[in-house]
Amino acid sequence: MMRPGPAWLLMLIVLAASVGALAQAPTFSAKVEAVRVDVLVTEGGQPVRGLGRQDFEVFDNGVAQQVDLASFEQIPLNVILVLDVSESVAGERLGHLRAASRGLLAGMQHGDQSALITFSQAVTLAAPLTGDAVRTRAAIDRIEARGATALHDAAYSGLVLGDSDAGRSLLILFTDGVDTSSYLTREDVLDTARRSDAVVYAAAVGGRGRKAFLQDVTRQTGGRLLELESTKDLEQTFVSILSEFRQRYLVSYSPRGVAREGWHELTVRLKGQKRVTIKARPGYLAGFAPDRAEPTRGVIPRSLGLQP
Amino acid sequence: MDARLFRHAAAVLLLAGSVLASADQQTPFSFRPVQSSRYRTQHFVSERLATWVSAAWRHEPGRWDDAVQRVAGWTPGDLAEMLVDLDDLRAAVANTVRKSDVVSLATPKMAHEKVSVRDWYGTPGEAIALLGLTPEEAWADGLTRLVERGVILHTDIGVLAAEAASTHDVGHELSRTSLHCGFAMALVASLARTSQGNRLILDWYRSVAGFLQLHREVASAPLFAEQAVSLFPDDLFLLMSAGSIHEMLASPTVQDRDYFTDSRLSPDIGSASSHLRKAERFFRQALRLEPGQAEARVRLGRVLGGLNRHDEALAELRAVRPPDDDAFVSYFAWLFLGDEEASAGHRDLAREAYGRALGIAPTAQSGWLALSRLARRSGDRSGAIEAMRRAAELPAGGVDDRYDPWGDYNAGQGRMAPNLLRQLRKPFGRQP
Repeated sequence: MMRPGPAWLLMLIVLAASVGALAQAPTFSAKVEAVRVDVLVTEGGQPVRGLGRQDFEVFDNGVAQQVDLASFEQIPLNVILVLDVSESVAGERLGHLRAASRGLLAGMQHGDQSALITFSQAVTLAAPLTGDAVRTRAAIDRIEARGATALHDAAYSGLVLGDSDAGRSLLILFTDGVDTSSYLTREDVLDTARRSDAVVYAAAVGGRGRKAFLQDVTRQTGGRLLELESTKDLEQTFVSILSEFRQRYLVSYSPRGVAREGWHELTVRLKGQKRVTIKARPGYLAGFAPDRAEPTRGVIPRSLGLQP
Repeated sequence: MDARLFRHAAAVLLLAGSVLASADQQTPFSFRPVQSSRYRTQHFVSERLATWVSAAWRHEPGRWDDAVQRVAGWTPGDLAEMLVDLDDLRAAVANTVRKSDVVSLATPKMAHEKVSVRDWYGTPGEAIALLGLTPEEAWADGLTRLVERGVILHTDIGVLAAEAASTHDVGHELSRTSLHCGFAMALVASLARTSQGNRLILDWYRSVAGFLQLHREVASAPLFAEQAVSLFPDDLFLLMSAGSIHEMLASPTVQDRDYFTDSRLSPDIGSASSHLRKAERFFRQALRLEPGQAEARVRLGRVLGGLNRHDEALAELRAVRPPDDDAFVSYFAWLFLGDEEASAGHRDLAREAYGRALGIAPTAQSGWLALSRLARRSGDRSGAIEAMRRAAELPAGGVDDRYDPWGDYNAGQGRMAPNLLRQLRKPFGRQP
């Protein structure tokens, strides 16, 4: 509980100023300029290489689009580790988790960035998005396991961080449990996921809990859920996720002939190829509801002290 | 916990329920024996009963002592049979010992005269001795004192088991909690509702319903709370407790069936809307008793929002006067007002309300995440990122300096349970 005192008032003033500053932050346009889709193309379980933009067909709400770009292994990655460090991870699992995270960082290439978000009952940005892997590694060494599991809050934070940079964002979400303490709901996270370009891969260990949320968030972003028996091979799992992500094409187009706002169902195909398997997000959400008219002065109750 | 244990726990709770039906009787004991030939064949000469009586008298409240260890591992079957044994014992004493007999009990004649009460066969003197009482004490409400100590013993087993539970065995320990609290409820129900007894019963229901909520014992917490409200319909605390327990049951975490890891442990939880409607009823009852109760109105507002009755929710939340002396309630008054203003599309008002909440708890992650979500929904990407950073950054003092009232919200009245339990144990002696 907050202890009342002069510091309380000062904090309120500082906070009011910071909230005001947030309110004045520049906003980005809700209209969709270009849509990016991370696409994994495999044949017989092996990635298909050497494809160009002319090979892809993209349909936005059923309307064929002109693909502007289809690049492969050329764009640096933002790898965001979102790691469950709740009490149940303590001990051997935490050791495996640290080793897996270090192994993943070892696979980073020039220009790639990494970040570390840990979560128990609270979410902590342990290392911001940085090209300095040493900094992220140091944060990994410091993590401790305790507390409950705010999985939804953490997934939301990872998605928001992923959208903070123009690079391709890969979220690797590790958990051994289910959400027990988030403020944000599953719907909040999925709404964010549908508006995000980030791709979420989830590594879930143990039999505790069903994985409906993880299935939803990975599916909505075109990623994958990997269910593991134990954390013993977690390093190999993390490395294979990174490797698979590097095999994906980044396809982009400027939407034409479709409404700007609302849900856009996406279909990605390869021209004339029927035996390949294509993995991409199923769609995206665009646009934002406008502010509604706010109550007039007389309607705002005095008890709230909100009168101008 | 295996399925057999769970069934037995349920049986004890049902038994407790059947005992509750006779709670108004004026005799110190009023157990109804289970109508089963299995129980009919039990004999009073029972080592189990002697162990229980000894444990009840010797237990030091609040401690995992030897007395607790002797009883904590008993199966639901043991406990169910204990109720029958105790009932026989009560009958042996209450039905055969009259005031005039008390003196003569000590005489050789009475001491050797066998009486038969239901399944019990022995002398009243043996019965009284088994209770650890003198004949005078047996007459002077000694049985009630024994039962009260039994209540404390089993409540402590339930409470201490839950507190000691690790993440990995939480299901098993919480089932033990339900079992022993259920048994304690059966004992509580047998206590005569005198003015003094009422206080103990009320204190017991307040602390145990709160404790079960604090530990998210979603299967039995509503059962205890609703029973409590039926006994004390005008108690504000219990109304708030029952309402907030149903609010917890409607929460996304509990409704999200991912939470229940084992189908054997999955309690039969109703839909979110059914629990929200029950919560609404309890909070409205609380507000009828005390219209200025800020927490009841805050929770009612949130519940109405959960029922998609956003106009009503907004009206309730705008009517709240956040109490200056209760940061917990004030924080949620502003936070939930922000949620409803946002839902109504009043983003500036929502932002201001969230700011007020964060003025009360500046490190609260829930407030910053709410601001971030608001910004994101408004298309303000940089605002969403900045608020998320504020949510996730560590305060200068590290993780222990971060306080978010949200962590205690679903505990409802259970946040007061530790104090209430201390008060409950106080008349019974030493505590740690």
